[in-house]
Parts: sequence; C-alpha cells; structure tokens
Amino acid sequence: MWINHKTEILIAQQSKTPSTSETHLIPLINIVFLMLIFFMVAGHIAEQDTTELIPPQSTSKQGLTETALTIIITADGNLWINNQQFFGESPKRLEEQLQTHIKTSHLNSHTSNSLEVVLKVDSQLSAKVLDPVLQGLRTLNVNKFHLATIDTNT
Amino acid sequence: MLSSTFSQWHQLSFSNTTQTNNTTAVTKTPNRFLLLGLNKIKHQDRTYNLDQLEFEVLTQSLSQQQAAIIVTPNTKVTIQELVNTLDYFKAHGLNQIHLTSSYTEPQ
Repeated sequence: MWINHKTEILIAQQSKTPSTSETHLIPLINIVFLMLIFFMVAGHIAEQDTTELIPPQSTSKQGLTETALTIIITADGNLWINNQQFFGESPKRLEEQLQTHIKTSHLNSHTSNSLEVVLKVDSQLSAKVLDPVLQGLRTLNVNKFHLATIDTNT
Repeated sequence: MLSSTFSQWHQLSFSNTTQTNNTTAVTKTPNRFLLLGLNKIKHQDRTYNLDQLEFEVLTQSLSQQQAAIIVTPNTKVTIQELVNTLDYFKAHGLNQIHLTSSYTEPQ
C-alpha cells in the first residue's frame, strides 16, 4: 500500500516536469519570432554585386547615387551591365547592349540626357578600359558618370 | 576581395566629353590637363608631378571651376591614378570635371 502510494507520487512528478519546461520555452520562442519579424521588416536587402574587384580609394565623402544603370569592370577585365555579364569584343556590340539595357531596365522614365551611370571599376586597371564604355554611352547621349570609390581609410 | 563587402561606397562625378576638337566643354576651359601616367601631368606645355603641381596653375583654374582631364589611350594611367587626379582637382575647387580619352587642340 505504502509502495503503491510512493510510485503514484513519482509518476505524478515525472509527468509534471516536461510540461513545466515547455511552459518556459514558449516566451523564448515568442521572442525569437518577434526578433525575426523585426529584422524582416526593418532590414534592408541589398542587391549584391556578383563580381570581384578592389575599388579605387578616394577622399570623396559623397555617398553613391542610386542609378538605374551600373557598369562593373573587374580586375580580369570582365564587363557587367546591371549584373549581366557582357560577352563580346566590338564597341558596336557593347553600344547595342547598353542601348538594350537603357530601353529595358525600367529606364523608360529617363531620357538618356538625364540618365546617370555608376561605374565600378577595379583600381589597378588601366584607365583606357573606360574608353569603349564611355564611347558607347556617349553615342547614346549619356554624359553624367559617377565613379564608385571607397574611403581612403578603408 | 568582394566588392559587396564594401558597404560604404562613395563616388566621384564627372562628365563624359566627346573627343572631337569642336567639343565646347573641353575647348572652353583653359584648364586642360593631360595625364601621362606615373603621376605625371602635363598642363600648357609643362610637365608636373601631380603632388607638385604649382598652386598658381590651379588658382587660374578656380575662376572657371572646371577642368578637362585628358587620358590618352597610349598611357598607363590606372583607375587609381585617375581617381587621385580627380580628388586633387576637386580639393582645389574644380567641381566640373570633363573626362575625355583624346583631344585635338583647335587650330
């Protein structure tokens, strides 16, 4: 009789223990979900560049302008227009490709005169790599450029 | 090094100028500088080191507030050197900078 009573008490205690730990976990789960929702709402998902380059260093403190057209030239000379790699050697082909991007990349609201272009170019490349790009854009009446840099202390 | 790791991008702005000798922006300004590479820069038939460029040259330029930087295709001017030149000119009040790859002096 005494043994049976003790066993019942033990079983009752064991069955209570898991429910207590579950109770403690619920606020923790709530907090984790609240933090997740906060970061989803407050966070900024930036489009990442798909290429590698070492940007030139500058004393400029002017923040980078958000533009509709970004051209990247990597250390190995590969050229990307709005994160699409450009294949081809001829300046004419480049000009056509740039024209296509200007027409299709939500740039209809811009006239080419008002269009500004961001150039992200590897710092150790020769400045002449800019020639075909600048020529191509010039024929499309795009004349305003921003050369992306990083702070000299970076 | 991934470019995406640089969260703090800055920019240097310039105009892209046509190459002909009829170009108004380049021909109008007396402040035409020819980049020769290795931080050498030519201005009005004299060659300077970029960091030794005489201030008198730049004070003439201040009234115009614009400069034309000419990078000839046969020189080994790097992008970093071009940026150093743009930085130097902007630090001296030249805010309208025109970049061109070749230029013919008007006759």
